[in-house]
Amino acid sequence: MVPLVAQITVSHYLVVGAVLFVTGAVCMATKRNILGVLMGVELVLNGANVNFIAFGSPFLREHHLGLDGQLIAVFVIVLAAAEAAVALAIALNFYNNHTTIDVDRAEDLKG
Amino acid sequence: MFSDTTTVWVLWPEIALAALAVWIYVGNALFRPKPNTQTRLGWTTFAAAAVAFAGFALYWHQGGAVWRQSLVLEGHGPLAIDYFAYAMRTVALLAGFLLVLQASRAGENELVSEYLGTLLLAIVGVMLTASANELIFLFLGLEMLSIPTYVLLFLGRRDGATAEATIKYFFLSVASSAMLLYGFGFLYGMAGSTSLTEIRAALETSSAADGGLMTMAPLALILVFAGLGFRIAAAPFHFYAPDVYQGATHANASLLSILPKIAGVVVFVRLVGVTMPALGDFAWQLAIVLSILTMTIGNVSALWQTNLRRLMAYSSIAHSGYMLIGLAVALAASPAEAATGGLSSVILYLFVYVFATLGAFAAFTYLGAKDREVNRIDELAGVAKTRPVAAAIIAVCMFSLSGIPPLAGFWGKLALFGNAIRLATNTESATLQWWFIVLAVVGVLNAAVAAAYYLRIVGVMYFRTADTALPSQGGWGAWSAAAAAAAMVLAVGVLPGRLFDNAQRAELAVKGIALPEGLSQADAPTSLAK
Repeated sequence: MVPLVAQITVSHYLVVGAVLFVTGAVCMATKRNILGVLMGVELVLNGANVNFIAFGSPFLREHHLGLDGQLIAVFVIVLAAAEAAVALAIALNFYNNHTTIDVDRAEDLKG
Repeated sequence: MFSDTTTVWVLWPEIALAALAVWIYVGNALFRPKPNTQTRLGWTTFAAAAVAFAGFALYWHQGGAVWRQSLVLEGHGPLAIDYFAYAMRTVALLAGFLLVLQASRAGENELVSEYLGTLLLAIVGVMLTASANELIFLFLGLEMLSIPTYVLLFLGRRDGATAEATIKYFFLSVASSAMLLYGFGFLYGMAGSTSLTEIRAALETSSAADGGLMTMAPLALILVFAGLGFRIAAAPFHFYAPDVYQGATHANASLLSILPKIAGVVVFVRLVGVTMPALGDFAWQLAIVLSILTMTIGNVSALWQTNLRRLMAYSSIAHSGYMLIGLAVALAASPAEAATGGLSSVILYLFVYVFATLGAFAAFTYLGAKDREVNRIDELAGVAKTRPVAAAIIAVCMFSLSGIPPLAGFWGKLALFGNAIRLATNTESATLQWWFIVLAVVGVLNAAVAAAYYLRIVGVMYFRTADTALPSQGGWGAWSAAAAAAAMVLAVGVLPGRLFDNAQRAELAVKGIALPEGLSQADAPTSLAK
């Protein structure tokens, strides 16, 4: 088979989804800037989205439109937007109190 | 299908509550250019009335029908309208009503409409989660709860500690939601459907012919446990709780220990307990290990806390551990056996926990003032002399949380441990016997350890003299919320039978088992649906 037209299967999409998810998780764990962490959140959510769309694929199951998976992805995108809006408000509040958005600088709560 | 209005009719308490919440946002902007204490009182009354209205709407329209299990939606719709959903929506509304009262003087006057409106939306989130029978709906319900929670957290107070608590809670909550979503992805992949009913069927008929799809089931289970474990603050996702509670106000800490817990337990029951028992030994072993870890970490760490909210956070962690016992029982019992009691004991315990915790927090709110909260346990010294009723309320709640006999908490623990022991004695399998005996023993030991720190609070209140008097300016709302919760704890403690019946009925309903003869028509509320 010619490498250029070799079939891409559902599991390839799952790998992409897993890579996105792990990248996002690592990003959330290592970034110190709040906006950087927020980007990690988007990656993680979209990693899950890729999974949903891949599992909804008509190639995985016959007689199956797979619209459920795509619908979930649309809902999650809307949700991510709502979450980002709240996150920016929280980041602004954090900046007002700490004059930085470096999460490591917050160490009031320990015990 | 698209013109079907049944779902709208069923969800109308939620729809009404959301609309009233939006009206609070808009109305405050329209009417009063400069909010004052009177506006605050007005909006608190309005919000409380809105929750009460939703409660009556729910009761009159669906109470009788779900009681007789006669209201069944055709097909595998997105909604589960059974007695379990109804009971959990009622618990959410009851707890929400008390939370609104408790917040009657917490926070700032300028932000009162934002606070109350957002609180109502969070309650709607819990109610939607309780009625969801579908992955998308379930996830959106959980987010409908968590997004308002972030807003509420930073509306509480405006200092550095609150900002830090909010950001911690936000990022960990989003991470857990993402893990849950990723787990949902695998569930959807295995079943090819988002309906929980069909997912359950797919898991039960799993075979080699699926081309290896079913090997993802344990992965999905772990991700779901991770996502929900955060919501109920179970180990190893509990570490945020003490910090976040400490940074929040008492009103917000009580909200955090109640609403996400109800939602998390509801999803645990419906998604894990009912949909996934076909996963075999792995599921209940995971639940047992997490349960033992959670309650031990919670109780042992609580022993040397001096901050009141940190102590309550560890207490909330420990109680999640107890509730996981019931889940493990439900997962380990053979599916053929109809009512194992596992899920009903979780439901019972949730109810008991919610009102005891709410009562304690509301009393703490009452004892403090807006700019001077009761932070350390030592500050409670001598409260029994200066504020005897508040002290008595706190004492009742603490005794109930530690599980001392005539109070509600005792029945909750009795049901949980009793069911674990019963499973161990009824089973043939030596592994099951061993695991569940160990689980019950660890549970009882933990309850004994927990008594130490709950009784310490009572001891400080009753046997030490005060250095300075507490302001006690939390308002009548907080006082009456505390009194109502304590009264509920006492009433359930004295007359637990009704709650036991209800919990059993909820377990039967959520499992889709027809009611046995004796239970079917007895005590049906007179209201009729439609």
